[in-house]
Amino acid sequence: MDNEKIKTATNEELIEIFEETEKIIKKLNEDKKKMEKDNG
Amino acid sequence: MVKEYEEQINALNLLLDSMPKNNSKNQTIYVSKLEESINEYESYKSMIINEMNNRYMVYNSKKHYVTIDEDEKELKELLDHLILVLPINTPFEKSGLDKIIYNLRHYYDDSLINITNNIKKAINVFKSSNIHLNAKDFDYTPYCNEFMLCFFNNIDAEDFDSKMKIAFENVYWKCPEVIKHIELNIMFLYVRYKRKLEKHYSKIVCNSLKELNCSDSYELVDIISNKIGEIQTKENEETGKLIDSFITNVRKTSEFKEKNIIESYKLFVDKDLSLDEYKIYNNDLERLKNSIIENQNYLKYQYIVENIKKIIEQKDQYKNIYKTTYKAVSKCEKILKKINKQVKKSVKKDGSLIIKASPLMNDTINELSDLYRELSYHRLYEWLISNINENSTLFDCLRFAYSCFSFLEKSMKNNEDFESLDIIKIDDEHDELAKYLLDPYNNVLKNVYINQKIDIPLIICDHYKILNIEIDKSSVSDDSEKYIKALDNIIIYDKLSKSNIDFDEIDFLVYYEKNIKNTEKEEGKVIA
Repeated sequence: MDNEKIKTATNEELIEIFEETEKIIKKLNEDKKKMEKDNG
Repeated sequence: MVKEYEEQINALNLLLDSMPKNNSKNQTIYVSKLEESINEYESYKSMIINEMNNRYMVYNSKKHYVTIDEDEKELKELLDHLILVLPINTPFEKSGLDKIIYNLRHYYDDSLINITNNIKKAINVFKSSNIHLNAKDFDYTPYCNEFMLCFFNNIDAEDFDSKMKIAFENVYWKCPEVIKHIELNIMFLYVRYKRKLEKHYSKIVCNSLKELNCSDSYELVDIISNKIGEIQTKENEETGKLIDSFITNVRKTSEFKEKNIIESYKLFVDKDLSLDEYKIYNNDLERLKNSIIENQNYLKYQYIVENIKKIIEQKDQYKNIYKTTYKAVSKCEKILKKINKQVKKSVKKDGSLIIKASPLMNDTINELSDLYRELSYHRLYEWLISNINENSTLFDCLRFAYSCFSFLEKSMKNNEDFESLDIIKIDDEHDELAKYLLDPYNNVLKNVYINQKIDIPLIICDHYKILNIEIDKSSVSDDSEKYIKALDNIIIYDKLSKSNIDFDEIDFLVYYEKNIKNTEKEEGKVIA
């Protein structure tokens, strides 16, 4: 993913990649939290 | 592009799943990879929001707002002039005494401060005609006089309200209807000074017409209609409020998909055409919407027209009725004077009264209250029977109701659709009636006589059939809401198509306002 692709995305695409990004950041943070919790 | 991005995310997920997490060293590597990925996607998020901010700025700046505050102010002033120059209106309506009396008559709904404010307003009406009232003028009954003595003695006092509260308490227990006595006293004074007030207001009318450069009230009605038309044109040019209606969920862009708009056109045009081809009907469809609304308004105010027709049918009953009622008022007031003499014998040195209002006084006051009310209606009925006839139009009838607040109030009272009435409801109906009456797009109102047996929905349908627009009577009357909504969507679609913003951009604005603006604002990532 680069800035050029973001700039040329349609509105619909931009909203979709925003939502996908939100989802993966949420998942990665949850995984990290879980791992830290498991290791005390 | 989205697919490519999803694949990239899937690959990351696969990689993370396949990483060993069985010992502390592997777990540290795994966490480190997670952190690296979080940073990477956070930076994507920043770039995406940055781009979203830019687009939001561009699209949001396409919203066009018009300022109509000045026009609205001008319209309000013109409407105030109209009340002054309408031929049926006497100083009673022109000065606003009709509303003051209405408020005093319904004093039980009001606070003492509002009551005294209304009395002050009434005194000022007389004052503007160089009639300077004092406590002596308020001698309709000794109770009224006791209250008004305190009123005039303290009119400029800082503690006026608290002084009047005490005065009210003192008089109320001896005479609970003292406010009614004051109301009748004002009516009595109005009748006494009517000629002087008429003279004053005839000057005001002349000045008003001169100032507006028009010869009569009809010309002023045209000026006001033109002003309303100007405001409507300005509002039609505006896109800002329309776009905001999508953002606030009043409208949904899904209703404006091409196929939905074509479906809306098909309700009126019995042909399979492309969206562009349907557009030739737009002007006529806009006019059709105005016609349907005009019919709706006609039905809404039919109760007023029916009320007027009923009075005209019984015109023999109302011949010289004003004179007869006025005689009855004078007779009753003579009786009241005699009762007053008896009460005055109990006046203490400080001017306060000892005895309670007698049942005879209460009955006489109630009779006078009914008579004065009838007197104001009877003046209007006499005007109606000599000015409204078979050659009068619906416009003439509704203009009469608009002129006479008390007639509108009586008509509303007789209409079961209004469960309970108050000054706000009557004022709202009065304002709505003005909008309908003065709407420049009315066709029926000025062209239909009151006794004409006419099927307005049929006339509308026949007119538009000539223009190749298929519509039946029920679409104009019973199902009108559905058809107005379809016409509205066609008109809005056309308006936005002609503007510099498209529905995709509106969708983006809606999404941004809902999902980005509020959530990211706190983090300082959005510009708006």
